[in-house]
Amino acid sequence: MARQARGTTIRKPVVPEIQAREWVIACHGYAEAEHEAIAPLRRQFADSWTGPGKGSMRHMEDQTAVALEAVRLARLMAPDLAFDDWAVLACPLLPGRTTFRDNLQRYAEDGAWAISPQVIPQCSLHSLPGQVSIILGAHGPNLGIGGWPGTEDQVWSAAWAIDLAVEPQGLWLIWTGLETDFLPSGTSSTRLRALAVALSRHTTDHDGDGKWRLAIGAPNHDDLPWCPWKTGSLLKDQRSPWSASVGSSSLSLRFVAPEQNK
Amino acid sequence: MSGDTEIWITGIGAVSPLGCGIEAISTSVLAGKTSIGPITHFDTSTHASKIASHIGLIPDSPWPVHPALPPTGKLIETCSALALDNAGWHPASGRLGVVLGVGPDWMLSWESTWGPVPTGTLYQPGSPFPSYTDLLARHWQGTMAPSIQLSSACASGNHALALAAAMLKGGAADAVLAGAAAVNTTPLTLAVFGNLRATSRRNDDPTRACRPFDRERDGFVMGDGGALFVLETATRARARGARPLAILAGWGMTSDAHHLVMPSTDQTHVVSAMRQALERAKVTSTEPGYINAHAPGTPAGDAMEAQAIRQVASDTGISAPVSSTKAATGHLLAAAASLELAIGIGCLERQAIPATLNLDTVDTSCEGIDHVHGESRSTPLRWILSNAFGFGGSNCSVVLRLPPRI
Repeated sequence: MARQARGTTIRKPVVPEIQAREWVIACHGYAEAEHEAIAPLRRQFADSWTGPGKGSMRHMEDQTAVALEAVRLARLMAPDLAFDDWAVLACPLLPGRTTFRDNLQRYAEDGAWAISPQVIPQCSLHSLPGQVSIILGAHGPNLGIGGWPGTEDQVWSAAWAIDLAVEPQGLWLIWTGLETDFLPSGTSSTRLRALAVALSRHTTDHDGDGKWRLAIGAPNHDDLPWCPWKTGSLLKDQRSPWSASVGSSSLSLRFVAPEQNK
Repeated sequence: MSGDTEIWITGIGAVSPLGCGIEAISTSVLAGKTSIGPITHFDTSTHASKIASHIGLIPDSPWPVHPALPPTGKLIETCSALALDNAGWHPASGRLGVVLGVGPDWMLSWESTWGPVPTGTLYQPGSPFPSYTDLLARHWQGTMAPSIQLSSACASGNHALALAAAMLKGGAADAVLAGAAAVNTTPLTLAVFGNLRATSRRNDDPTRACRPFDRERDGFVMGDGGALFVLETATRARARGARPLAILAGWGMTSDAHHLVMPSTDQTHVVSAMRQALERAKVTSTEPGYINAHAPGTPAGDAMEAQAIRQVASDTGISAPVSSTKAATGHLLAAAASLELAIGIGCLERQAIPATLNLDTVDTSCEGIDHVHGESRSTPLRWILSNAFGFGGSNCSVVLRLPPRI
């Protein structure tokens, strides 16, 4: 079945160098909310929305609501920035768990007609980035990435690949999750959190001078694994450069201080 | 993207209710067969739509598979093993990356495994169901290439291939296993799309229910299956003596930023995705090609796409015959684009275009393009454009080219 040509001489391939990508950190935001605070947050976003889909926004998943708050806080740092051609990559963690529990129970009791048509549109891996792209008016690609515990660093591999694939003007990277995990059959008292980071394209030698940057390139074997929530505090403090391992240790993520910008 | 490295598809693992492998699937699609029929594996008495293209028995994977792995996981494992075997790739061949398109997969896992009241440790790290990329990576540990699991709903398969190409051109992997596969026909998924009024209710005539571009279309019919591909740079593939099945020549991706479910009535961003793909692939107006439309058979989606295809022809001078294969395969949701790319490769090999089944009377909103209907058309083909549009306003188009003869 193999299609490899039999008897051909195998030549040693040239291993290409890993292409580095670098972005200016345009803004970032972190939000957290107790489960009880989600409904008001959801209402707040839906009520203030004037575009199409206002009704469906009232059904947005819990992590989407906290992500929108993180994006809102981030935008306060860069109120004049437009995002028309930006990409949105987001890693919600197993979204929709309470909604699925409720709907599976309803299905068991009352059949198909009892199921909400919003379940898949609002609770899938793609739902959060789709909603953020709508709010921002961002017409670059929007993708849900990872989605399982332990897949958070896939967002960096995807950011690197998207940047190589279509060179958007910038990237919104978003992580959401629950501070302590819970089973939907138990109580729903838990804190949700979201980190949103906006990275703009580095277009000239002078762009972003005086600003911190993030870069991805060849692996550095001394790096420790990356963690999204630690990154949030590092971005906030902006004290010293650091690097971390991402993409199954195949790539290195570096936080570059302004004085290192060249 | 710097460099001008050609990306080859050197292996395919495709599984559908129409058959296993692109030979079987393409033969069926070009012969005008459909796998759509009544759902019999669960009670559909309360469902609006009671039909699907259901896969039934999933071919065994040669790899050791977790016994409790849900059907989508088993299908991904099988397609992956078939693709790697087809490419003649083994772990010692180099760094293997993975880009996997997924849908609401953990919901499907939960539904198939736990039922309405889940217990156990579904959400804990180290639970029986890590991400599918982690499951696959366990078969070739330590290869040091990125894995990405992504979702753009029904556009996921095309996005997976575009990111795989970038991963290769950027030098982070020697080969990438990319694509999507899904077993979608579960009670909850069928109920959701039925209640969205997105699926056809022509339950008494299943084989004629899915009618892309037709005046009488009333929604899509859900399907199972998928395809995974092995991608390599031409340089790397030549070095190990691998043959190309197709060239991944271009891709374009945009978002409507309009509505989570409804396609925008403004085709600007769909047109942009198609044009990006054609331009990246350097397709010219004189080269013969084929457009495999997303067209699932929904009133709004088909009309929007037909208008976008007309607009691209008007803007670029590039036009080609158009058909949708979803009336043959069903709509595979996150895996739709991948199976359609596999069918596209079969079309390039055979120099033939499949017909849109059940297209009896072209709807006025879908006129002005060269529909292939009635029967398949034998014609020279140099390229194929495959469209995929998903919830969240995601648009991704991919262009495949006829490979060099080796």
